[in-house]
Amino acid sequence: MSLDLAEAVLAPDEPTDHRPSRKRGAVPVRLISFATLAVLLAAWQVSASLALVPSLFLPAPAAVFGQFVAVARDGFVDATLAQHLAASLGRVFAALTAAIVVGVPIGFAIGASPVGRGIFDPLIEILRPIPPLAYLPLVIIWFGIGEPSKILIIAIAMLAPIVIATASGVRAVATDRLNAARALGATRRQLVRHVVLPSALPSVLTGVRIALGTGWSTLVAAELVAASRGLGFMIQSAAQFLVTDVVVMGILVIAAVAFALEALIRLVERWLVPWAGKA
Amino acid sequence: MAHLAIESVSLRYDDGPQVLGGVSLDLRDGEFLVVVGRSGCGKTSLLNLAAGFVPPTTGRVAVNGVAITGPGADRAVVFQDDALFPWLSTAENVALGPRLSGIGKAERRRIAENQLAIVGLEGLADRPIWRLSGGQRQRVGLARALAARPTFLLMDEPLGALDAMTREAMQELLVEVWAKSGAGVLLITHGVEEALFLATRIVVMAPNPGRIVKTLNVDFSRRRLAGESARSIKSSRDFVAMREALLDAIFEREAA
Repeated sequence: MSLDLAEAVLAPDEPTDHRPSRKRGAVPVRLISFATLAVLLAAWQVSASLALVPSLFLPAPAAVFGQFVAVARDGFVDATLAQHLAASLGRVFAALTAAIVVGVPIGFAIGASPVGRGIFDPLIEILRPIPPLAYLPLVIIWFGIGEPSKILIIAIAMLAPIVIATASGVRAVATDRLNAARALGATRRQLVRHVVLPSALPSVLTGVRIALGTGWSTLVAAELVAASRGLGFMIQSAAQFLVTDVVVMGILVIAAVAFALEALIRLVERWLVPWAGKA
Repeated sequence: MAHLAIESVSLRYDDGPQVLGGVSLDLRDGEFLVVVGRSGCGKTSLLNLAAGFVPPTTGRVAVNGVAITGPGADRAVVFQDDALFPWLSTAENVALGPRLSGIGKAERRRIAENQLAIVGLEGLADRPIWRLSGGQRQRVGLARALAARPTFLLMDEPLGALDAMTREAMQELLVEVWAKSGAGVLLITHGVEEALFLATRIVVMAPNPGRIVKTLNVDFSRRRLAGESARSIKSSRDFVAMREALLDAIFEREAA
């Protein structure tokens, strides 16, 4: 009876129950993420130690790391890991440059003028959903199997995100800021240079970030054809010889580089547009 | 003597209702004209017309007898949400007008520091504007407008987003700046006390469509310039009487 009473008295104290739950939300997410990765790695190690899966299908972590060291030092199919990486990064950054040079003006035209929007919007909307593997054969028929084709395939994949982000940045320029500059005597050209371009820059950089992700994931497709270097090429060659540990190592390197690129572009954002989201 | 004239202007955006109907208003340099009225009476539209941001549907806006065709550096604008450029430093924001007209870097710096001192922001020239408080940002917006050496200064509820204490300080600053610059000021507000404290002339607007229903001449800002304290002015008998008269003018039409 007294126990019931105690419960009845304690029951309305729900707010005290809410506070710990909010604390639970504040648990460091990073720690959980690291734990998840650690558990995954441990499971991988255990299954390799107990030989649950033939190493042809799943090589041991130590074997993969061993290949990382070996390929970094001695190379795989006539090139070291650094050379493969440099070839891939070179293609992705050449493609990024091309996509920015072409995409930013197109995005600007779409965002700033109805005519530009009428011309380019349908083209971009048609191009955007096509998977790179679908236009790969056509690009090869048109431009051959050389380096330009590989760069072009990546650049096409990068184009849409940059165009769309630029257009939305240009469209979102604050009317008050445009008016403020006009009332200070700005000409049309000065408006573009002093207001529209800097206003759109954070959005353009977001587009570049998305494009880098897209471009990097298109890399393997681009290196399917007649490449002699590159991370994608390395993985495919290794797969043909059933060198599974190099395949796994290559995949992990691609993932790590993607992560590093993301971090890099965030640094660039902090340096170029420190005001973004603050004013 | 410079003269901004709004002549029998009406305004309608596309197929919307009529925003302004037959408004005529003069602004001369050295005058502090305040427009008050309830929300939706077309105050801001009137300022946008004077600035040249929108063209009138009928009638015209003229400066010294010449119809305007758009915004110009002779009519500087201070916005309610400051409209500063976050990619420029405080000094660069202030000196944007001189920069657009091709004035050199050293001279721009001198202008910026000068104007920042006038609005009480010495030493903040190199601060990014996103590190400034709301009141400081509004001062930068004012300094930017003044740096263009405008003949007319148009302000759209410049103190609307500030807290009460900051607003009182800004009101005194506006009176000083107006007296020093000699510009003709057009200020939009819904603050009745603010209007009385700042204006040499008050225009009351009413909605549907926006029009002028009353004009009052006041001189409290001159009393402030003569050295009387803001508190003493705002608690004086004639200020309180004027405030009631002004409130009546603003709300009369609604009761009828």
